[in-house]
Amino acid sequence: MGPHSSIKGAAVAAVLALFAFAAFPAFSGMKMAMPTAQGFAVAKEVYSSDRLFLVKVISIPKPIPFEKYFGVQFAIYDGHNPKRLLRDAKVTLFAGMRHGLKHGFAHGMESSPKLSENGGVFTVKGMYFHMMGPWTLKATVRADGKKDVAYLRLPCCGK
Amino acid sequence: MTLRERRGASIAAIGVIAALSAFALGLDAASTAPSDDRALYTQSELAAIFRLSPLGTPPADPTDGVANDPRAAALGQYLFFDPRFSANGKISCASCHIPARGFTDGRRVAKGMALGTRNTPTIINAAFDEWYFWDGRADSMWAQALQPLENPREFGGDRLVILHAVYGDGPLRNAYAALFGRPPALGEAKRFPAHARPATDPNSPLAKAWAAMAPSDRRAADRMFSNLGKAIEAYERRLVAGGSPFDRYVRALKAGDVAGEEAMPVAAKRGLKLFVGRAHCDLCHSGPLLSDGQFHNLGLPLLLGEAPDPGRAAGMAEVKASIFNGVGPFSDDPRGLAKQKLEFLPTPKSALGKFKTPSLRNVALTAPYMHDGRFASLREVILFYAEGKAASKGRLVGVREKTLSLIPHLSANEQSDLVAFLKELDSAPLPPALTRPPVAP
Repeated sequence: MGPHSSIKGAAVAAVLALFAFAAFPAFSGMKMAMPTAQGFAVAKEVYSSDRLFLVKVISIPKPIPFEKYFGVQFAIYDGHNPKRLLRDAKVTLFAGMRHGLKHGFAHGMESSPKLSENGGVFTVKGMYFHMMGPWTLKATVRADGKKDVAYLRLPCCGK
Repeated sequence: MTLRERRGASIAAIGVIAALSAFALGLDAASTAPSDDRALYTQSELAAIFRLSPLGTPPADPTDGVANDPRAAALGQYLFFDPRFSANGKISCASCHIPARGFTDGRRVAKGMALGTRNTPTIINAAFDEWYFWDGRADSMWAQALQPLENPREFGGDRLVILHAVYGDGPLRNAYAALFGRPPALGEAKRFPAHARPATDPNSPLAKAWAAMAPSDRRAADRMFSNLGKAIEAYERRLVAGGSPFDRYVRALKAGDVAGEEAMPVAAKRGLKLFVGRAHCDLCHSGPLLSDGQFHNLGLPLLLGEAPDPGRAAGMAEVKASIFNGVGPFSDDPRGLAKQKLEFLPTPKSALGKFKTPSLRNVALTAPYMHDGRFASLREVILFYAEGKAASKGRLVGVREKTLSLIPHLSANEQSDLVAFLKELDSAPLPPALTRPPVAP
């Protein structure tokens, strides 16, 4: 083996080692975000995937409590006219953690929250996060004869 | 690439390898050069470690009005060790929750009047839990304490025979009355038969005897029965034990006390770093109890001859139906958390095959492991996790939780390090006065 091939071998090994080290970026990223104050920030509004709807968060605990029940309030607006509240919107929710999955969830919550609506304002009671890290609230919205899905990132947690 | 570029790349590569090697060997290097152990962990790992200790004090249980009453604890301790409430007069709570074995029994599955189907969990630090039994079919410690008394495989008793036993024992009856007031008129045999209890088979003699009682007498019997459970809870709430080498280590870490950091051996420190880091154990084994208190499907395949166990899915139905749950007529505070817990229970389908995350405190004392006691040693448990999905081949109940896929391959040395860490979670012994039958209630 000549000197160049051994150098090449070492370089390849190093690259592989780097890949191995970064093999779980989502997981380490999740951990890194937890202790900082910024990590607890929740987006105040989020568009659905096709921008048909805008989900505006009205209230949510800051920070979200760990292993305690909490509630969320939000409203649905027209994605093309964000001042237009959609009073007839229908919403179904699922909250879970992805843990790096591209599709779907690794698990959901250990609770079944209750969702109610009043004048276009949706109130969710009974949210419960039992695991540290970023949770995702998936809101499937139906309004104006259309359907779209919005994902709200909810970082967990404070004490 | 020119020769100069290749040389530059090789130097960079060697640098990367050296850096990675230093990282990998960091704990060993640190062990030879005394320094603050905080350097061994990332900031997020340190934050995670600090969340695991100290243990603290148990949360209040407002559903039990005598939970913190020392008189109730004394009565409960007496009841805990008393075998007279079992069908054969030989079985007490302490038969399965043996103090010298970390309040477990060392058996694969519990054995009372007959063999059970689940492993006996410890009751040390159980006061921190929100759900009881592997399937969470009780939502308070007092409601938990009642079930074995009437389980045919455990005590094999019924609530009336137990109430009569208390009523017929002067000191016990006095201790009860001092706490809860005068008991029902159990001396009136026509109103309170020797044996009776509700039962799923309405034609059983016990169920018939129960049905024949006046509703007000049934209610009085249930009240007294629930009070006995509350007294047992008051005792069990005192079985709180922190003070493990791990707790001492965390205290030293927080203080930067280098000498105090010797509380754990180096292998355990490597295990701890894995526990809160790459192995992600603390996602479920979180908080000072090293348990999230929730329910997970680990993808444990059915053992040969083992009946499918729906776990939490069945437990939820039972706790909702129980008159002894936190919102029932015998709860001392049916509002607040007790109400929330039952109001927001997850769907049964999502809970199929899930079992409660056990606390890891004192885990080395409480073999065997898992809800069915299938693993004899901690090494077997860690190997199960390290093997990943391959260990879940076979018939499963429900769906294996994908969170488990976060656990990477763990080398034999890493598995040993995790076991070494777990062995540092044994707490200081409980006061002897709490681990033996009292002379009087």
